[in-house]
Amino acid sequence: MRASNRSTPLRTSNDRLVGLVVLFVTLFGVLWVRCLWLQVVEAERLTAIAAAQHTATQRLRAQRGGIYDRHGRQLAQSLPAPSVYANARQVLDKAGLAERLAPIVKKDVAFVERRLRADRGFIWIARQVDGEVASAVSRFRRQGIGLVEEPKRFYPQQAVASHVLGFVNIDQDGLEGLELAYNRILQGEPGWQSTIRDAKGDLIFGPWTSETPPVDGYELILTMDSVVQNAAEEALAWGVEKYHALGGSVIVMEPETGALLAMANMPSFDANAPSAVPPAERRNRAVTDLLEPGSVFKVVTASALLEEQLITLDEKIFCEEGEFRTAGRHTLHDHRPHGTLSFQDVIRLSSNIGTAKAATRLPPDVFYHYIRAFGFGRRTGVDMPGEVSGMISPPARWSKLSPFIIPIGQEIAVTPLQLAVMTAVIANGGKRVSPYVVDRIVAPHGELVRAFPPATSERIVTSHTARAVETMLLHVVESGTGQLARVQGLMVAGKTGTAQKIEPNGRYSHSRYVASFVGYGPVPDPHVVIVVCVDEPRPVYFGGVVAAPIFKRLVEQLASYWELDRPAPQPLMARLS
Amino acid sequence: MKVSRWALAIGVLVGCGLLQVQGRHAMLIKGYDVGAREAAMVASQNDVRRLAMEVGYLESPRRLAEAAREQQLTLVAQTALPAPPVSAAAGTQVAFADTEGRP
Repeated sequence: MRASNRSTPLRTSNDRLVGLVVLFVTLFGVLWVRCLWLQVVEAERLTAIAAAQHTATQRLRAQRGGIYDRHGRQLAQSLPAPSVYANARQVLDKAGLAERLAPIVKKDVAFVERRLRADRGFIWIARQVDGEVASAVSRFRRQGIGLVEEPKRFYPQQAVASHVLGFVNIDQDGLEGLELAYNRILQGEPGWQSTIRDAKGDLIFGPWTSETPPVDGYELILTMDSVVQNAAEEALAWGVEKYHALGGSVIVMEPETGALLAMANMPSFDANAPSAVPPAERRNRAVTDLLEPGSVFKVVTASALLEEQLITLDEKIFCEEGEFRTAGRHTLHDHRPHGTLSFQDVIRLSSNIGTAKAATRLPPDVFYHYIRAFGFGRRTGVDMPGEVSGMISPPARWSKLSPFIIPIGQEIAVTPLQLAVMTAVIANGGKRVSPYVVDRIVAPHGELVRAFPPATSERIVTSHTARAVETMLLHVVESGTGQLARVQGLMVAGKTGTAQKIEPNGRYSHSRYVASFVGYGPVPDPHVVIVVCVDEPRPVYFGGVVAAPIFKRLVEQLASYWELDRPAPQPLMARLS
Repeated sequence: MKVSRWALAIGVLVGCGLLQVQGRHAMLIKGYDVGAREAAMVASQNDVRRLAMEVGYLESPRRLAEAAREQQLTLVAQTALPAPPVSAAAGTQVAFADTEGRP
């Protein structure tokens, strides 16, 4: 009984000890199993969660390259602009916040509310807003609204050369013009950066940081001169407004190299807000629009005839007193009846009948060869998107009428840029040049990446023929149809054109015309070739009245800009001698 | 003596630990510094770009031409050339309507 009494506490004590050991072993066992579970089974998932919490991996945007004119004036540049986003899951009062936020970001309340109701951690509210909007939005930070910087494209000269430069979308991808053609070169390569961040989200750089730096986009230096471009745009706008035209194009090009100094189009648009105008107004008419050249095409006809020695400047041609029956029932008219004219006067007075009759001496395949050689019926290869090749049928598909009307610029469709190439052939002494607009590509710090020298020019006619045609074009301006292009103190050569547009029924319109003028100056050492095309001027529509004054106005401005000597006027023949 | 050796060993271990912590802390401070400097550099580059664009706008030929016109300056590339008188232009139109070789 006593023994029993003595052994009971001992047993109890041992039991307790065993119990405690078992308890601790069990607890440690549970902990150990839990640790094993976390370290082995859950390791991958938990490591990922931890890494996501303290590791920041971000895409490093490349800076899109700028675009500059030939004198380094800035035409396009990208800058960071704040964009507004929402963590919609954090927004409690969605309707109330939408009502307060919408007027600040200049969006519809319903639009903002719809965005806030999306079950997403990140959703755009307004992108690329200005600084005032950003500072107003910043007070909503604690309500699930945030700001992030994104690059935005700016065009500091606004509408100047907008058709050439084009524009980009909100993600900085080129959509039109040079922005599209050189998108890959301008946009660069993005980089990546991975580093740790603290509880506040601030990045901490150190040996743990890994980075692939972005490669910024290259910059484009153009052949264009923004002063010349602006002068061309102003002269064109003046003419389009004065003659109530639908639009027009002006091209200014160096005749020796094909370097484009200006390419103006009307209607114009501000490249900073391209969506403000319809797409049709954003097209670069100088390379995308086709027109029948009309009488300016007589330059090709005259060049071919003279080059083939089928005519001389003094040769007399009877112009049928203004009415000439060609093939079939078709009758060719001159606007004013002419009797017998020298070939020089045929061009000076732009006689359709005289030109058509002279051109019958040209075998169709020979004439076609010259048309192609002058660059018609194929793209000029200018480094801008959307260029069309024009239309000219091969001789096998010509009608009986074709040999009479193609020489006067009908039954052929050309672009204004092709007319510039044609005019340059005469201005530079007989060589066809390839127009281009990008002079060189440079790295962000100025190192030359690639230069675009003028393409090798191809001789089309001899310099003798070119000089003979030039003499005719000088007379056109001096005493012919292009007198309104005369510039005091400067010798300029040119040719007028008035082309009927085609009606939807396929017939020539009697109310819709394209007035044009092609010319160059100063002779004998021309700096520029200029092409002016005005679409549907009213009420007057003649190239000599509508387009020639635009040419004159532009040449006068360029003469001042380049400080060209403008001596007192003398008779043309005295100057030619 | 035995205790002193243990204390020394522990002291060395603690010292090493403190050094490592201090080094780690210094690295973090530098890391923050690098981040701040990088952000400042990006901000400066953006300022340079912004100012260059401002210059681009200010020297835009169109803006200069408009300013010259407003101030009636005549020396800027004759951008303020007067348009020909309407009557003269109309007269010329009539004269040239006869000579134009319209097809």
